[in-house]
Amino acid sequence: MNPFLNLLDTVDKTISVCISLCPVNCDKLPHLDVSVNNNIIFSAEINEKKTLKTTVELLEPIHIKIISKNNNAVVLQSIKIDDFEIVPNYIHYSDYVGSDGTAFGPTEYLGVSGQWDLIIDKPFYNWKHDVTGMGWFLTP
Amino acid sequence: MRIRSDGSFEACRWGHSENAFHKNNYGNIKDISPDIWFQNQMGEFRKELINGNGYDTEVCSECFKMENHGKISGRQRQLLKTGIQDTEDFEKTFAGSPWINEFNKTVTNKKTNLLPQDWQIDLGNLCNSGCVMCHPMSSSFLETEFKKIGILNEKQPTSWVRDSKALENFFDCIDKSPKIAYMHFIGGEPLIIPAFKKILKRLIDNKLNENITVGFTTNLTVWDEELVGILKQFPNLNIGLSVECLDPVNDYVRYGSDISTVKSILNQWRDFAKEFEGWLVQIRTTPTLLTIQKLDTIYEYAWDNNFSVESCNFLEDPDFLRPTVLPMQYRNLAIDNLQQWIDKNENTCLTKEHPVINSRHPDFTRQYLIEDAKSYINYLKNGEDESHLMGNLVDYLQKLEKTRQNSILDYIPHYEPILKSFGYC
Repeated sequence: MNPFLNLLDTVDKTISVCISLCPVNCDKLPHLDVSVNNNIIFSAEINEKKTLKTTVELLEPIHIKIISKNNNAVVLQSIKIDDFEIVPNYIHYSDYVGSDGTAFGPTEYLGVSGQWDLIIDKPFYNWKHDVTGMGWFLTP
Repeated sequence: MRIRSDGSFEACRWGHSENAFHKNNYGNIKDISPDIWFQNQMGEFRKELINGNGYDTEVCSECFKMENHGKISGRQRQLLKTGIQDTEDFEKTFAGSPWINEFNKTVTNKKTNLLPQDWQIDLGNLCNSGCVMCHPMSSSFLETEFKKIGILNEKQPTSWVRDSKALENFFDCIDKSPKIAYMHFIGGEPLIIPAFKKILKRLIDNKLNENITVGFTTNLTVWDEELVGILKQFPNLNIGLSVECLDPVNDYVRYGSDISTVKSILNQWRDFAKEFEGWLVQIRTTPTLLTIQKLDTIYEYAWDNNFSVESCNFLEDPDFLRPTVLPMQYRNLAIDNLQQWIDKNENTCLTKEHPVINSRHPDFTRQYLIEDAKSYINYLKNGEDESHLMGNLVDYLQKLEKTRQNSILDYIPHYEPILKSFGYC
């Protein structure tokens, strides 16, 4: 029995993803499709602040996609991945393109219909190492 | 891994040299290629680590001592390079590390086919300084002096870099190691050791200079334009500058240096490094009981220039120079100076939630400096009382002073009562 490798049997091998969204104007409710790694976790209008939760596998890359459908604005108030807050300090890793092709770039404000993406193209903690300035990341 | 001055291998640059593991497992580059030692003999050590027995090997004991006082250790820094954080994220970063398969190989006794990626290379003991806390294996100056004063009889082993077979073994390993990330060179004084240039030129010839980071530690007594010209061909360079404090007592402790020259060369490296985006300057200290009360001057300079300050560990040997040899009333003077410096600066720096392990990140350097200064306060407050070693200190200093024709009391007059009470005259 190895004290460290045994951890692989007991460690929580999931990553929590928690997304909080809020409509900008309660008279103009945004209709959103929210998916994480191609699993749709929400598809409807939101009329108040809503928090969506899901999990992904520890070693899985993460793709959060939000499609805004009816030109009504929504704000991403918080995106926490294993309690690591993306908004606002790491929002620059996101991208937002309007449905007419306008590139809005990184933002937490989705003002018109379009697609917003946050792509973490490697295991989350490897990505976090890079973006939080942990220095060298050696690989075998 | 590390190659020591005599060519012997060590598993870790931070590790304590006299240890249970190496006692039976020294290999030498004069006899064996580093990759063979790394893949075979070092396997035993890796197995101890993954089995959770690092402390028992005695290699890791210095790091655990640092961590106990809140000082970031080499163990934590090296773990971080594999993506593993010694924080509440340990389990998940461990499970997510790309090294898991290699760890598994170790446990199941499968030989690794990897090569070293992170090196410390001791180039030999040729040195123009006789630092009081150094030893003859790392200083030819001390080797000569110790023989003169009768505390050393034997000649130190010839440096491995003067052995053509050893150099061949070294270059052979380097040439087949495409994933080398870092090579740190120490001496002696690397800037006066001809092999340093020779190795750097070889790295350039093989175009390794474009990808690897080279580091070295210099004693701020020499500046070599030719070497600087060679270093300019390394886009990524870590420059370690050894100084204990910005006070004349530095001249006593780092004997052979002159504080005005030290300051001048320190600023010269600082200004020169600004021209290169990938060049990083760090201050390297070995705090002793002779300099701990002026350590705040180093933090102040580092703070002003956003440099980090690193020490391999709390001084182990010579034991009588450890700051914890000072009786508490003298330790308190150092504590007060460090605390005043912390109080002046602490609230002005960006604070991360966790201790800063990667001290090389410029955004976190100042927080790291505060945390490092606090670790010394912790060490001084809580470190074991070793004042019984004062007599050995006095004996040693008086032997040196006899040939050096100097006196510690010219530099630290307020130590007179304690030194005299242990026979200093």
